[in-house]
Amino acid sequence: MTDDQLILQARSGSREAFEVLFERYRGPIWQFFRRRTVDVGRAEELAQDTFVVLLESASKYEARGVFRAYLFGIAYNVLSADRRKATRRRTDPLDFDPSSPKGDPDAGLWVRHALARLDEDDREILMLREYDELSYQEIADLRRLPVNTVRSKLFRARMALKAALVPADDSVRMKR
Amino acid sequence: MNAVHPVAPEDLMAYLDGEVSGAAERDIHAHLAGCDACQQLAADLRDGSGQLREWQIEEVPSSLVAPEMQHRQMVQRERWTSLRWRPWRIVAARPFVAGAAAVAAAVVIASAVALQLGSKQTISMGSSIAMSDPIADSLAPAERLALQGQNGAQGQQGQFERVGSNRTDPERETPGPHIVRTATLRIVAGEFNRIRPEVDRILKGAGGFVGEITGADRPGTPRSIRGTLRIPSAHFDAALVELRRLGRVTEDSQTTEDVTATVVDLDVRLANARVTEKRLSEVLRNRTGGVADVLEVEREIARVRTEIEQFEAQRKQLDRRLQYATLRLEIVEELAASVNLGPVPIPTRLRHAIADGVQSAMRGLLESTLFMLRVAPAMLLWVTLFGLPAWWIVRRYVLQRPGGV
Repeated sequence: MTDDQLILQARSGSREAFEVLFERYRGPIWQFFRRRTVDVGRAEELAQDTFVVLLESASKYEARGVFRAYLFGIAYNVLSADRRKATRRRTDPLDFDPSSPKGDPDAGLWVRHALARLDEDDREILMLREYDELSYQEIADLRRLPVNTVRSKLFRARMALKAALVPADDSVRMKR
Repeated sequence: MNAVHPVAPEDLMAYLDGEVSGAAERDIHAHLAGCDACQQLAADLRDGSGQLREWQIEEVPSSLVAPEMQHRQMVQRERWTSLRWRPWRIVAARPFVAGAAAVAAAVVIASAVALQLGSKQTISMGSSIAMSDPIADSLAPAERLALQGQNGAQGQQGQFERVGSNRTDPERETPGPHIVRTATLRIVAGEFNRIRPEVDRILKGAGGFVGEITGADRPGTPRSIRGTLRIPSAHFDAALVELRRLGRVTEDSQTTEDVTATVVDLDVRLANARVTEKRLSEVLRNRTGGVADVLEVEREIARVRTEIEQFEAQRKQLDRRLQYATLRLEIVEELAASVNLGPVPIPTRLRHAIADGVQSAMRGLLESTLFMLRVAPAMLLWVTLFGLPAWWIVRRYVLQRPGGV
C-alpha cells in the first residue's frame, strides 16, 4: 500500500494505516533529527513533534505521490522552528557539533568533521540528498530555491567535502 | 571542462544521482564510457557518498511511539472540517442526523455549563432549614451535588483521556474526574449527652476517623462539640444523613474541588520521570564513556530519583484527600426557651420601685454601718495618738496667752 493511500486512510480514522506509516518513517525521521541535533532526547522530541504535526496537517495533504517529501518538509520546518527558539534562548549548544561526546564517538567521526567545515546551506543540501534521499526538486521546494541553484550548491558541497575528507581521512585513520 | 566536454560536471553528478532522464541520460552515459576525466570525477563522487554512509546513527529509541491521541484529534478535526465546510449538505440530505447533532450540541453545551458551575460548587442552606424537615431538605442538595459530579465525570472523560495519554508511556491509568469533597455541618441538638457517642458510632460505621475534635462546657454558655472528621468518600453522603438526624441543622454546605488536572499532571510527570530513570540506568549499564560521563549519569539518576519520590509523595497525599472527604462539624446544645409574659402593669412597677427603694436604703444603711465598723478603730487610734496631745498644746499655750482668743 502506498504512502498516499495510507495517509488518506489515516485521515478517515484508520489507526492501523497511521501506524504502518509511522513504522515506515520513524527510522528516517529519527535519523534526520539525530544527525542535526546534539541531544538525543531533543532529537526524539522533534521526531515526535513531526508526527504530531503530520497528523494535524494531514487534512491539507494532497495525494500526489510525494508523501516522503511532504513529511521531510514538516521535519525541516520543525527543525527550523526549534533552531530559532534555541537562538532566542541562547542556551543550547550548536546543533551541529561533530566533536560532541554525546553522539556516537566512533561512527564516522572524520565524516562529521568534514561536514562541519562546509557552508551551512551547502551542508544542509548535501545531507538532504545523501542521508534523506530527497530529489533535487524536493530539496528545491523545501529550501525554496531554484533547482539549478540546488544542483550548483550540491556540486560545490561535494567538492568541498572531498577536499575536507582527504587529509582528515588520512589523519584519523592513521590514529586508529 | 565545459570547453572540451559536452557534459558539465554538475550534469554528470545529476546523472549519477538519477536526476537525468531521456536523451540526456543516454548522452551522458555514452560520454562517461569513454572519458577518463569524467570517470575519475564519477569515482570521486561515488567515493564521497560512500564515505558519508559511514556515519551511522543508533537505533530508533523504543520510546518513540506513534502519537495516538493526537491521531484521534486529527480524525475529529477532519470530521469537523467536513461539517464546517458543508453543513447545508448534511441538513438537506439527512435532516434526522442534523437534528440529532443539534440535540447533542445542546447537551454538550449544557454539560459544559454544569461542569463549569460544578468545579467549585458550594451549596448553602442557611438557617431556614430549621423551619422544615432537615433530613428531607438537606438530602436534595447532596443528591444534586452527586448528580453534578456524575455529569462532570461523563463530560470530562474524553478530555481527561486525551490529556492523560498525550505522553508516550504513562504507567498509571488516570480515569477522571477526581473530586475532593469538603462539607460543613452545624447542628443544634437537644439531648446533648448522647451526641458524642452517636458521632463516634456514625464515624466508626462509615470507616472514618477524627481529625480533631474539641468539646466545650463552660458555665453560662451552651455545651458544644467542634471538630474535623475524615470520612471515606464512598460513605460520605450516608454519614452526613445520619449526622443530620442528631438535631436541627442550621448550616449545611458542601464544596467540591476538581483536582483531576493535578492528578493527570502528576501521573504523567511520574511516568516520564520513571522512563528517564530507566533510560539513564540503561546508559549506566552500557557505560561506554569515561569516568566523568559515568559520574554525570549517576548524578542525573539521583536527581531523577528524588523527583520521582517527590511526585510519589504528592500523589499519595492527593490520594488521601480524594479517598477521605473532610467534614467540619459543629454541634451546639439547645438552650431551654425563656418565658415572655408581656409588659409589666404600673402598680406592679410601683410596688417593685418601692421595694427596690427600701431594699436600696437598707442596703445603704448596712453598707454605712459596715464602713464605720471597718474605719472606726483606726480613727480612734489616730485621735488618741495625735488628737489629744494637740488639744492639750492648744489649751496650754494658745488659749491661756494674754491677748489670745
